[in-house]
Amino acid sequence: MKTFNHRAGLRLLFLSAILTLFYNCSTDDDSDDTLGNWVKKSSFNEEARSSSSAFTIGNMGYMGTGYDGDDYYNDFWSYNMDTNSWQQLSDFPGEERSSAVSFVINNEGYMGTGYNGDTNEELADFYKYNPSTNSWTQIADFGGSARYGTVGFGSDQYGYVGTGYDGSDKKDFWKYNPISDSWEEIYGFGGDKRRDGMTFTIGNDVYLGTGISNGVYETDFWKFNLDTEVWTELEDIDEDDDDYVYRSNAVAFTLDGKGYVACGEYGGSISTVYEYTPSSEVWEEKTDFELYARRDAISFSNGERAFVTLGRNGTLYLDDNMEFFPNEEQDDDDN
Amino acid sequence: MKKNYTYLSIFIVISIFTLLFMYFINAGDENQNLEANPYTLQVLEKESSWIYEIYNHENLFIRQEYIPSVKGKQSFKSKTDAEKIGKLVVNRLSKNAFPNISKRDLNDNNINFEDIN
Repeated sequence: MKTFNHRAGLRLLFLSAILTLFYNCSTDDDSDDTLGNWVKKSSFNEEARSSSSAFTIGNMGYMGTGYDGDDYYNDFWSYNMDTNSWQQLSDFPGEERSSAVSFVINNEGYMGTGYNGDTNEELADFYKYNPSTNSWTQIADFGGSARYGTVGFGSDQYGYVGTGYDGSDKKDFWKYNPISDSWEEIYGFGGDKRRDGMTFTIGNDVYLGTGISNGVYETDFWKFNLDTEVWTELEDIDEDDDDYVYRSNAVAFTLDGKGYVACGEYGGSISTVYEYTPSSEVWEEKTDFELYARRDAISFSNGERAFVTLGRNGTLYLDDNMEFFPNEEQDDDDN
Repeated sequence: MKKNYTYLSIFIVISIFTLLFMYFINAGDENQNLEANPYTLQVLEKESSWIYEIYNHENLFIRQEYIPSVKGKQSFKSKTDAEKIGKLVVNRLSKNAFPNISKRDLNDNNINFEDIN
């Protein structure tokens, strides 16, 4: 009887030792040398949404529309980076939708195109948001075919929207002129057709990459100069075998003159983050997004601060709002 | 025979520990559910109009200066109006719903606003 107790005790001790070992393993897995830290900010809760559209003016991020797995939305919100608080603004005046595109011209936001799953329709309508009056105005419909999953970006004078999906994948680009309220097709993009790609803007250069067409992740990478409107092809994003930049449904943003691609979809939802340095044309991996891997998230960025929020992982719709500090050490205690 | 008893007793001990562990974990969860709603509402007067703020624990989460959903910078004209919509938002947040307010919510609560298009 005595030996029996002894052996049972030993086994228990052994078991707890193993459990303790596993526990330690799970909290101590960031021994790699990638830099970057994600810090949790004011987030919506549980029933969140994905495929919203977002733009940033100054220290205010604007977010609207999207899909939560059941319903499409046309509400519109601002996120104040300084006070870390949200405010619901004037509703987006078009019908509810997901996968719309946004850009900013001269401190006014533009949002349009997208998909309404309730009517199963691709959309072409477009609207302008004026932050000083909190009001929307309808502008000319997008010049190309009704579509979703496009990329969009703005300069001081014009807005640009291209690629996307209208029933098939597209590669055409259109320029919006706010003075004449009209769209004009622009030529010269020699890249592949695609949907759900991304762009980030550094100075007067817009970088375009990622996205998917017919199940193939696109690896070509392009630069568009906002002054000359000339496209230049750069080194493919899979040039270095250690880089896994290619993906779709990612978010992209700019911080201190560098471009970032985060999260998205590659087979499943992913959380990896890559930093692009324009002077050396080199990609470098940064600390993964620290909460659920996700696709169809949005980002706010004013060039000095960047936030990634919302999105989904499979059928799980997400709410976290995380700020990214690319040059800090990762810290588990601020998530 | 003795060996069987050994395995059996170890199995029982582990089961008891697992059950105790689960019990404590669940008890913790229940305590969290019983904990008061983390969202609190504050209605403030600002330049003869009313705004509401919603806090998650002690952190500012929503600061609503304009009537949500409607066009223009329209502010709440009474404390009651701001309070009614603020409470509705807190209610939705505590049910884990997205706290968006529609024009219908404003009409249902007799909120004083101009419906500009």
